[in-house]
Amino acid sequence: MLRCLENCNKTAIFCVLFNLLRRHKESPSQVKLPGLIIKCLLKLSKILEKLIAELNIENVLIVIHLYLISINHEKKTSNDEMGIRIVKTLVHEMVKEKKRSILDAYKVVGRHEVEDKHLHRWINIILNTLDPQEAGGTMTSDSSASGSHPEREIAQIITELKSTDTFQTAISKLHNFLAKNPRLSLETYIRDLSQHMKDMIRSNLESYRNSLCKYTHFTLKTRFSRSVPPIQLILAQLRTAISQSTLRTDPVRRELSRTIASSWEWAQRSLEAGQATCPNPQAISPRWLG
Amino acid sequence: MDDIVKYISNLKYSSDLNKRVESLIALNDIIQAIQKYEKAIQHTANDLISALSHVLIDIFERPRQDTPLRFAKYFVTIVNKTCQCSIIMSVIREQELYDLVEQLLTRLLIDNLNKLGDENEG
Repeated sequence: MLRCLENCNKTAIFCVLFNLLRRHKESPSQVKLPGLIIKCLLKLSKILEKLIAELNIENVLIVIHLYLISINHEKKTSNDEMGIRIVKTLVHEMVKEKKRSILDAYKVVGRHEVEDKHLHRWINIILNTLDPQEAGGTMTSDSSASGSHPEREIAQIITELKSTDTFQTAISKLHNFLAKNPRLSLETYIRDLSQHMKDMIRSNLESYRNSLCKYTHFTLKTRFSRSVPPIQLILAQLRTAISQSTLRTDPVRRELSRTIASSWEWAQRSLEAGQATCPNPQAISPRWLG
Repeated sequence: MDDIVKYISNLKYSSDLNKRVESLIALNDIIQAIQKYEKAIQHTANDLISALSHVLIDIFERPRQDTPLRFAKYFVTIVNKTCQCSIIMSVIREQELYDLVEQLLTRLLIDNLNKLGDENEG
């Protein structure tokens, strides 16, 4: 089939195949057709590097947008999943080829009457991955100024979340990421995932937070109760750290503040009773904070 | 160019099988010597592709006995040759291409198409 099309305009081939896929994706009379179109697109995606320079990016982006808005992202079929994967490959190659100038071509999608919820985000993620130095302008988070790349980081975490082997580690990374970037919403990043996956991530994240609160409470109490003398200094450091730091998730912060307050009182009483002294502050090691 | 238009029209609309076969033979000759007819064929390329899509529907939507298998096979050979021809395909508009690809993909999915005919020559 593709040999029949090899002499055609390359943009037209992609447009035709995506438009056909959109039209027949749920056609009851042509159940096998979407699969065959996907096969053609998959084969094309394997030789994308050769074709990419010939593509009219604006036209391809708009057909991709039309295809993406035709998908029910809450209830994707396997063909949808495959189609999205091909789209991502195609977008990746186009961004690689066009770099930031793809954003000019993207304007045609921005002007479309139906809002794009995917393409722009994917383009930014790929741009950030390809050229972190130049991608500063596309950042939307708090930490963009400090030179880190939340879009790339979250993309990596989401990838890890999709694998059962790395899921748990990714949950802790996700927790840290959200703590570091409190203005970013988790929902934005997981909206493409299936409902089941979203629920699993939310519940595991919540469990992780709860376990962290309990652990923090327990650790602080036990460590400080057996602790070395400069406890007030440590507590002061902790207080400052919490007020400035990444621990902005409310339950963790509340729990820590409560623990510190009670530990502070305990330390105060111990000092007054002569059970603890405050030695040379230089000797204090951060590892004492546990 | 007038001849090409006539062949395309006969292929698409004629109810006389002989005329349709003659058109296919003439179009085959033109494709074989495409350099000679380059301008004329490019001018009529979209009509040609549109006619091919039309005849594909005609062949596959009608009862099997209405179309001789030899004609269908010869027609598919010409479709294949046309699609291999860059002079024609490079000027095809998206809509014409869409119609042709839709027909080809749909017909490729017909079960046991290759076993058609007395000697499985489909």
